[in-house]
Amino acid sequence: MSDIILELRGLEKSFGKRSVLKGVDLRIAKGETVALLGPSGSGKTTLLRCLNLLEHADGGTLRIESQSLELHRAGKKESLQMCRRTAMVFQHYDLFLNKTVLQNVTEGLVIGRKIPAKEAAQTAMDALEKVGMADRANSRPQQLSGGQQQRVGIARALALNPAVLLLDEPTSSLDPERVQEILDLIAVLAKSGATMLIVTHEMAFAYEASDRVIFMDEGEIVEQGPPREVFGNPQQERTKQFITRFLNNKSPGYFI
Amino acid sequence: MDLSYLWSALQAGAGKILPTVVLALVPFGIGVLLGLPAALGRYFRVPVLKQTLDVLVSLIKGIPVLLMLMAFYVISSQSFDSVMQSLGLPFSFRGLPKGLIAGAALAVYAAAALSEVFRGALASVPKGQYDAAYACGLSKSQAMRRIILPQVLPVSLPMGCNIMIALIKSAALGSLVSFIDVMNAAVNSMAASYRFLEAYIAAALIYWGICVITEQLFKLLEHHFARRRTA
Repeated sequence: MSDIILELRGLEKSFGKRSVLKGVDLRIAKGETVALLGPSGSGKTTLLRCLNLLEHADGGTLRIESQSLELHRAGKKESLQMCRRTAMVFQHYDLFLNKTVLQNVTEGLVIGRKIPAKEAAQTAMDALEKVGMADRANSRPQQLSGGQQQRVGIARALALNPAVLLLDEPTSSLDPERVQEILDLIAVLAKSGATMLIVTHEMAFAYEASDRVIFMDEGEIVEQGPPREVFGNPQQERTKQFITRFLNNKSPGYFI
Repeated sequence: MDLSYLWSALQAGAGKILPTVVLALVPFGIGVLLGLPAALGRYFRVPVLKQTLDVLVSLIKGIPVLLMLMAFYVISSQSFDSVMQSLGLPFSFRGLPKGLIAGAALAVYAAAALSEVFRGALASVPKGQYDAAYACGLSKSQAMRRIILPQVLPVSLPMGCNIMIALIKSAALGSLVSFIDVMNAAVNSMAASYRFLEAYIAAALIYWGICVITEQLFKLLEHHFARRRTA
């Protein structure tokens, strides 16, 4: 078994009386690309947000690299420390509107990680280079298209050199033409050995680019495995329904 | 109407522009210093603090500044001397600059009004900005100082300008506690000749001038921030 970089046990989360996550276990190996699928409201995004402590979980233990944390009673300092082990790419990009492209990327490095400004600028430029946005380093987010903003969002997360990169529906608010270029970029990152957990509705992408897909429904992991198995031969009734409904929208034999 | 009276009333009023502006500017500054934390406490629903501030702001908003000023005057005329005596300080109500009383009343008003302005501006910052800041490893106070507040302040400028102008005009109420501002100076200069219409017109022109300049200054600030955001 390869090196497990993230291990989650018994994650529980409810909003008021509604239980959103019901004891989720998750392990991710170093360098693995995991796609998280499931219908809206199944808890995918909440799971992601619990992993970087944007959301306060009601129970569960999280280990990333060498740090372990009981999520429901994590102190401020440990939470911040754990949060800094991951980075996140958001559905609506959420670039800092008061900063330039370059400052968006250096902010987390200089302030969060205490890296000297000069070194941070170099790291940031390297990350922007990787996503093809180095020439817009001095632009403002408002001057960029959605696809460009998302590239910067990815560079901002990459520059932090996280143990696990979390992507929350990174292409859902893009126009169809831009979706593919962002997916291609993520696929390149996956090949380059980044560890990623991606919430996505792009089934073809999940099939082609991920090492493992996880199907979630109603706050639980229903089924997981290599994409070929989950898509080609789903074991659970609920997964079958979901996959079939998706396949019906595509030409027959899409995955064969 | 006699232009020569108007001219001398203008001169008398203009001589008090500085105290008038100071009486508006200092409460404005205090209002920013108190109003911003108050807005934060209310926006982030800090228990007890939020409820207390809600009541206070609602109370202050609902009371005429004039009434607050008179109340402050009466309270200080009755108890300032005894408080100073018990503290062993050599100050008396007689020697108290009356501008301080007017300033205090205006500062209370400014704090309440500006806390509402900042609260509105805070609500204009998308939630995703907080998420992104925390996800980049910023602590709550770092996120506030470096990401949220720099977006809140430019948004507050247009409404802040309105509050500043309201304060400049309210400075005229200072006459009730014998503080001399533009209007009172202009009126006093015409006391002997009974040329009050000239005095009022002169004062109106001066207030208008001050307000136009204030607006232009705020506009300059707005442009400065707007340029920074898109350039």
